[in-house]
Amino acid sequence: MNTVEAPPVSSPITRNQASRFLQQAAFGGTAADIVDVQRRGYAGWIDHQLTVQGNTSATGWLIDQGLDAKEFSATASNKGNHTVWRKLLSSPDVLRQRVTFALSQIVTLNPDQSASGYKHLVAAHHWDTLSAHAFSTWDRLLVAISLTHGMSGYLTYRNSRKADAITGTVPDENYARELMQLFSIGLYRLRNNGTKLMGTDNQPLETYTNNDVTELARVFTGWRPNASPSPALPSSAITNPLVNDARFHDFGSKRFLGATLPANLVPADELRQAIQVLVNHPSSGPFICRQLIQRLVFSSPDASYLQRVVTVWNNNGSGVRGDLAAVVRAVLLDPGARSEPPNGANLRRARLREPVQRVVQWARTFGATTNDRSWEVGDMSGELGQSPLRPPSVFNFFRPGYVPPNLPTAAEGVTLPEFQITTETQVAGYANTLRTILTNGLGGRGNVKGDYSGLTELARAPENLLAELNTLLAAGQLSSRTLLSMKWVLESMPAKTGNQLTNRVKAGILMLMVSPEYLVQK
Amino acid sequence: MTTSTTRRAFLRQAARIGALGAAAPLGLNLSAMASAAASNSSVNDYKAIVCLFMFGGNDHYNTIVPYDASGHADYAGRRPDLAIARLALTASRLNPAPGFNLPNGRQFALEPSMNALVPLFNTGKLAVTLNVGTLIDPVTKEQVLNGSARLPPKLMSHNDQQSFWQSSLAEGATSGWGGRMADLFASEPPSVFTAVSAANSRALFVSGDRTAGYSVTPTGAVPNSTVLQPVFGSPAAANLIRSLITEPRSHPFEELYNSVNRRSLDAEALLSAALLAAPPLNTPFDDSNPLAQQLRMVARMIQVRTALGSSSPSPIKRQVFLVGMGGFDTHDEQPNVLPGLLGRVAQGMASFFAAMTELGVDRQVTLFTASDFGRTLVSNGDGTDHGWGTHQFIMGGGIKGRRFFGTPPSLVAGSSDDWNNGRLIPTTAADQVSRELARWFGVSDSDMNIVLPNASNFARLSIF
Repeated sequence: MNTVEAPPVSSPITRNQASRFLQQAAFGGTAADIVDVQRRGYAGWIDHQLTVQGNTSATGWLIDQGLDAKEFSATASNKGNHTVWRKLLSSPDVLRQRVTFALSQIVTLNPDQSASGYKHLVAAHHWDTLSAHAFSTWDRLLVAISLTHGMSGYLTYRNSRKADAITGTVPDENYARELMQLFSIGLYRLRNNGTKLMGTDNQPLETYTNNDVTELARVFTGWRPNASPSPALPSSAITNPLVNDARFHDFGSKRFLGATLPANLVPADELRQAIQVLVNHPSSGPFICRQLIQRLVFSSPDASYLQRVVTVWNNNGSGVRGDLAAVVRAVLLDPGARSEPPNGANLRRARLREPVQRVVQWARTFGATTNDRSWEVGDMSGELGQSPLRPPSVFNFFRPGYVPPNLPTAAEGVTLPEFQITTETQVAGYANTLRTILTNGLGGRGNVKGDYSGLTELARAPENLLAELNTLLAAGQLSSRTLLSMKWVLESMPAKTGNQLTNRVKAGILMLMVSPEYLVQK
Repeated sequence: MTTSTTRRAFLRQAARIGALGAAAPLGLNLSAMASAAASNSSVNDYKAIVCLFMFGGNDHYNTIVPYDASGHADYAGRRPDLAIARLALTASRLNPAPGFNLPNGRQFALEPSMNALVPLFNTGKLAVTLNVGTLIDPVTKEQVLNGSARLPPKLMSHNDQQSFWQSSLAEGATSGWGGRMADLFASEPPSVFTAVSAANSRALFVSGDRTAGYSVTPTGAVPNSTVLQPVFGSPAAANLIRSLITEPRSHPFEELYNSVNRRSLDAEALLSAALLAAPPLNTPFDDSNPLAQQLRMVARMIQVRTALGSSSPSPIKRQVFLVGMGGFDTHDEQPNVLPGLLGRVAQGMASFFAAMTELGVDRQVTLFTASDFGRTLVSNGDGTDHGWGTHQFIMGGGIKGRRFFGTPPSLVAGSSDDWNNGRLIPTTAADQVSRELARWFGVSDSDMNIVLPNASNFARLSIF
């Protein structure tokens, strides 16, 4: 049942196949993007994307806007939303942006829940750091993130001190715990295919004990910003790596996860070695790779797909572990992702599109842009249940192991994380937001507007319009029955003026993007 | 065998499967069973339980604070930088009922910003549970340290412990104990308003096998404009959208999504109309307090329960609610952050009790607080780390208030209550308290293992 075959190399890529690929590797795309995939091939498209330069960095855009100044220390959090949305909506390095969004849901940070000032710069620098390491290795990514001002504030190891016998204080354990539980190895010992290793008592074997947490917490002592935010250039304090204050660092040896870090290491070397221990743990691959597949391709990947990806994580072919460029390529080129979608329901080969993904797909498909370069898209959690870098806790918007209630018995073991934010409130909020976006544009002042001019002529013949929208937005996955009922509706709408034709296009997009056949990506 | 016993047998089976820690869905489509709503028809009164969840793990030590000189000295001695001065606690001291004495002269006071709760305690509407935590069996320190104790999975992990408090099962559980109670009492088909979350995202506590756990915002339900208004001038498009997003689907994920849309549309129509028709509450709820706003919506839904049940086969007699607020994971900046959070909790609870009194249901509605875990007694410099046992509140006109339940923990380093760094080994189980709530709600002893599979491992408490 789980055997899948890659299509023969020689077969040309259809428009729907290319669109489906773009919905996994990017946020969908335009007709021209589809042609680009057809021309380059899947692997060629990825190779090309690895070299594409993005537009101005999230931090750089804030600096350009004059927001790197002391007067914005406490008042510009929303600009952090704008600059991150701008990257998602418009940066040309679209594979990198899609992977960055995925990474931001594993290595989570919400500036609004941290004690840091300059929250807009914290958001921007987190995005830029993840983005810079999107095709790097997991250990480099974790080292870079661990040395950021933003993470040290969010998970509270900034200024954490070695134990003090007189005052009775002990090092802050927050980061050590979440670094293991969420950012590297997870709670349970996993095989390469993601199944849990069981102990003699038939209970899952755990990866770490609280003693491991306490020991690792000692690595994260003495770290502080390398300068107080200066009035002249606050961004330097946010973007410069942390430095270690030897007075407060615990220089003793540390023993965790069966490894020993000797005493008196240089703190930065010790931190790197500690992270190497985590990445070398056999659970790191299945733990991280399963989440990457979930964020890009399927909500509940089968074990064989995961195992093939983990093999690449364990060794990229050159002996390197956790090579993200190789892993992303493996996720997207695997027959599990590339073979044709099943005719019937296969819960291992389906995914509920994330709300942010849907909004970005709208923007990327219809060339949305701003007329004043302000990109005023804020925190959309209230409407969508999700907004970039605004998870309600370090546990992200949803848990990778979330199991929805009331699935059929046959769905044993199926996870559907995205359903955790799918509430009665959120489904209506999403539909209303989509309507507003199509009517007025996206963002507080609606100034991110789509361009539908390329589709208005097609709207004279609704059948053709819907066929095109079906390819662009849903990779052709809407049923002919649904398309027929939509066609009747659009035919009942007037088509004499340009506005009326645009209304047909917008009604078509709305009907399609609220329909369950679109929302569940196969 | 009657249909109702069949259903209960099914639920028991479900509970057993869940107790094994299986993350798999239970696969019991109980709503499809043509079951008589036996429990529901056998009760005539109205009762509701509200869970107030403090997400992140509340620092119980600075919430319900040792006040007697010796206890306060133990407390302040181990967290000198975080301790609240004894003098600052005088006004918020809790005076237990006459004749009720804690052992060793122990006394407690509330964090000063929680003083809105002091009159409620002192008039018997509020009680405190001491050193309560997630447990499967009673445990001793020796058993915990030598690994022989059967413990809930992943102590001190936020999501796992939130799951255990809300469901009595490991993370991956698909039903909470509130939802399982609601399953026993809901009509067939269940009213969507049987189990309600006013907090964000799908809340485990109010998820049942029959009852889905309805989500509402602090201002009510969200109308879906794409169904209720013409779409770009086309009523036909709005009609088609209604059909597309509510029709039964063969793909289980699509069907799941449409089932949420169906509940969203049906419940919004009913709730919006009912709220519009009812007079506003006289009791004020602070507009700047998000938790109070959630509690206000719960109070409003209790107010209009008759109207909400009008489309159900029988009136709504039992409801469970969840409200919640985050920010309690105070590893850092605790002295600056925690008083504000606790002030909001206390204000919200006090307003809620006043509203229940205004509606005449203060004896029929019980609120309890819960949180991921307690925290360490020792400081990490300006905050505290994850612990285990904690102190919590129970509030309602039907409880034996003005009392402490459970045992005051020793705060001496290395004591039998001290796992390490002042992390408490619980001496009362969360399930032990929950069972008293469930019994009051009307859950029979024979159904208790459906709702709280581990509760039978513990002695009764006398909270009601």
